[in-house]
Amino acid sequence: MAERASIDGDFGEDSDPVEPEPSCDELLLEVEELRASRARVVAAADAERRRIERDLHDGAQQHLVALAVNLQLVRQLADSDPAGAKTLLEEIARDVREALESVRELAHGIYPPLLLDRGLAEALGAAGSAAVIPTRVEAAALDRFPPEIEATVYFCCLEALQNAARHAGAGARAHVRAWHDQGTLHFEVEDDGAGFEPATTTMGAGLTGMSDRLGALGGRLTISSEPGRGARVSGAVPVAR
Amino acid sequence: MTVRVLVADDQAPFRRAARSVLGAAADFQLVGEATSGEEAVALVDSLRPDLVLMDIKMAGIGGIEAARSISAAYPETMTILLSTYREEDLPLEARACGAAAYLHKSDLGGGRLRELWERRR
Repeated sequence: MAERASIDGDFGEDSDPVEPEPSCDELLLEVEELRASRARVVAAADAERRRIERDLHDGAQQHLVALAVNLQLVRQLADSDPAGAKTLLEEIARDVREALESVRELAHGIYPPLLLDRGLAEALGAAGSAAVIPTRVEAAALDRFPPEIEATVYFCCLEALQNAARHAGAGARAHVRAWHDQGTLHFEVEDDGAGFEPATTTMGAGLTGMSDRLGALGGRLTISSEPGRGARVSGAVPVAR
Repeated sequence: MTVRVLVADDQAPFRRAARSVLGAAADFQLVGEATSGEEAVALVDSLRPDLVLMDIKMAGIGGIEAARSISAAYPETMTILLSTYREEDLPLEARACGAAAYLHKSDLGGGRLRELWERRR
């Protein structure tokens, strides 16, 4: 599979030790890209806060409000209409279950408990099992890394899997790999689906966010694809051990 | 007199709770449910309810704009704005959209509705 598009951060295993000094124009371009990247990171953090507020408002809060209303009503009906009160209690139980599920989903999306407790290997395994398309995960030999590294690699893989589910097409399968090699944590999410033409495809907000997160940690993201031959999202980030 | 009520909210749990509250209040009758501001305006036009319980935050034109349209076209219809926000967090337009009152969603109950309805008359 030929590499058609790539986004490089500050760090790369292919860097040439005798590479010539960058020109002033190149440095200015790099500064400009860094400014834009920092602005995108701030915007992404704000967007995430808005998403959490929306999810809380549309999820748990609505169930809790319904609970408050129904509890007042059930108190009122307890003597005058016991059968009606019993029916309402079933509705209250449903709202409690849905509120709990909503909070659980939100908390999982903010930071998966498995990633926090058990690390990248198990969290990626669970993400693969829950993925919309059949997914094989190879990450078993991974040790623990600093939280910001684990979270970045995890959410990059998750975003790539979600992209594969959206764009790879029916019958596609995905393969996720993560491995540590000489101070670098690598990951790769590959699918055998429809693929795309990188030269004519605009990178979405999700992939841009992945690239920015990796770049902030001195890493880099590479996306490669060809129409009809699947897509691969891979990344590498230096880890101090 | 039975007060005919339209509930406008895009959140199913609250619509269910409002249904229960109105079902238990003999002097109120649920006549329709809308899930957007636009739908609320259309249903007021066709159902002519006495009272609209209008959630502020809905997709499309939202509850405040819908309340403004309803107040202009049907001044005899009372609109009560609802949300999960504290009253001081409401946008300024909420006070000038023609709605008669604001009610925190968790305070919805037959007694409170009756009180607001009587106060309006």
